Amino acid sequence: MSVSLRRLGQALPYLLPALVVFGLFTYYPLWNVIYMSFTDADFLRAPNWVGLDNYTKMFNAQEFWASLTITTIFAVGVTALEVVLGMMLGFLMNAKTRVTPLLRAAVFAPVVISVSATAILWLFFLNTQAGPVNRALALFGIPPIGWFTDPKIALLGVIVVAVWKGVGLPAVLYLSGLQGISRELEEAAIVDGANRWQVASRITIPLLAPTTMVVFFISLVGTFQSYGLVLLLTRGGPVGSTELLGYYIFENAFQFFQMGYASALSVALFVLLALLAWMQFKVSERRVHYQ
Amino acid sequence: MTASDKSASDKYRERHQSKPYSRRRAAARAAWLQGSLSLLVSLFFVLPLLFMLLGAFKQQREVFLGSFIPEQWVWGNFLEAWNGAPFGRYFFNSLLVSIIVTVSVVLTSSLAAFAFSRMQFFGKGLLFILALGPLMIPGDVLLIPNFITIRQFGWQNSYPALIVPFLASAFGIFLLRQAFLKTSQELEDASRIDGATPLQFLFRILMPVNAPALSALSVLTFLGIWNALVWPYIAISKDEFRTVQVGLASFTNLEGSNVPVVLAATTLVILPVMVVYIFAQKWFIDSAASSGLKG
Repeated sequence: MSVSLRRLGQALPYLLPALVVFGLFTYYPLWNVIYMSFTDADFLRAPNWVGLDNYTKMFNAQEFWASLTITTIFAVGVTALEVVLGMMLGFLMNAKTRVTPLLRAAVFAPVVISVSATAILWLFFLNTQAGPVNRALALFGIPPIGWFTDPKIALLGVIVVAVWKGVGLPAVLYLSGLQGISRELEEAAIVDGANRWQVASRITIPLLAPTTMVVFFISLVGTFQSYGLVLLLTRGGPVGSTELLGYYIFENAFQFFQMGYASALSVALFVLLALLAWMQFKVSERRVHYQ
Repeated sequence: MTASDKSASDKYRERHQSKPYSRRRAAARAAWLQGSLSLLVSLFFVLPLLFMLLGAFKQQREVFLGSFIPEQWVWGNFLEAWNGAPFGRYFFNSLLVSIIVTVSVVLTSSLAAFAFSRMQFFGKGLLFILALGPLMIPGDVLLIPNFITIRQFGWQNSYPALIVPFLASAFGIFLLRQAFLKTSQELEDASRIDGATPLQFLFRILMPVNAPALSALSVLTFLGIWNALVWPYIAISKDEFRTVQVGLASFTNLEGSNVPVVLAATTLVILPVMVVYIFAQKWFIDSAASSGLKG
């Protein structure tokens, strides 16, 4: 025991730099946000204990349930598209044509472009009045679409931008998944007379299941907490149609200064993400590997 | 040899050649199809960027109404964009913050990963959970309390607000520990026999041997901090300390602004990252693919 305690003394200097940062900016604030969710904290007065008031307010707030619904639609929509398109792009990127290097570079480029730049170039590209897309549609007699200004369409607009920006990572993960699959099984199936589609659907795609699981959860967890695009593209509007939970928290905290209520919302977001993490753990326990 | 014999042998040859020939043709057709599909998809991804670039060179009156190619290439838009906001300062801030955070993350992650992969000590399991815990706790949940913390520290509108919360990374510790565990024990034994201290072994041998993992961590950290938006947006309200992304974010109101100048500013912000990306594409893509392993 005393030896291992002394060894702890030797190890601590290596660990302390990281642990001090985590203590100050992860664990202390986690405790603090839970504490604040039971107070009426704002920037003006000292916070008072209000018990469960913020949570009661949250469960009774129509905006909270609306933002939860919107977040779910957004997260599920983006995740579904990223899994399906990511897989298709992975297959296409695995081909060996002269255009393939260009394709790989083009699909991944948006991943390295910042949210700010992405927002501006899409605000221009999908501009309602005279953006290039609406102008092209006008040639076919289609009236201008309010990609970010029509309450019925804005969420779709944000999803399109999020997928454009995000699908590069799933595509690359699928590409490396495909490159890791041994050719033997596919060749055996071809010898047995299977066609291209049968090989893909019965052999290759099932073999990619581990990649699919990683992509699924990375996308889902990522989209549940990403509202940077909404902050710049729509500010939650028009009429709250793109009010993601993260943005709803941001608004309450930094525009209405209702820190207590926003903290309760943050705790709710934390619980939701913890549930997702728990689901991921359960699914990965069941092993989707075929090796 | 009669004519009929000849035609029979031709038929034989035809029958036996036609199959590989048509298969080759089918393969060529498939490659052509894949190639054109790839081109089309690439175009979809590049098109918004292309319109931004062309728009940045246009005159204000033609940006929405004129032709695809600018009538006249207005280079002045870039000058106007650069002078329209203190972009020099923004770039300096972003560069400073990103470099300090990246160097620090590599250091703090290496030290912790070294302890977790090469030492046995009391409480290792618990400390390991504490070190990886932040992976499970999303930053967005911590936005409010961290904002209050930096206000208490008097760090609002300062470099420490942008730097200190990010000096260590649970993902970095995880990534490097995986790499360090794979490095053979013999290297450590040999360096110990040669009289190297643990720190010397870490910095002179373990880190250089694991350069690929360190470089992946560096590029991901740098890019993450360079592109960060929400935290710097909240923590900073003075121009002096704004990063490039926050500075650019103030241009998002297209209505009532000089659109070509806004597009020029966006181009200026994207350009450095794109240039590095084009020359070191494999580095970016491989690093990102390695990050997928954490899921």
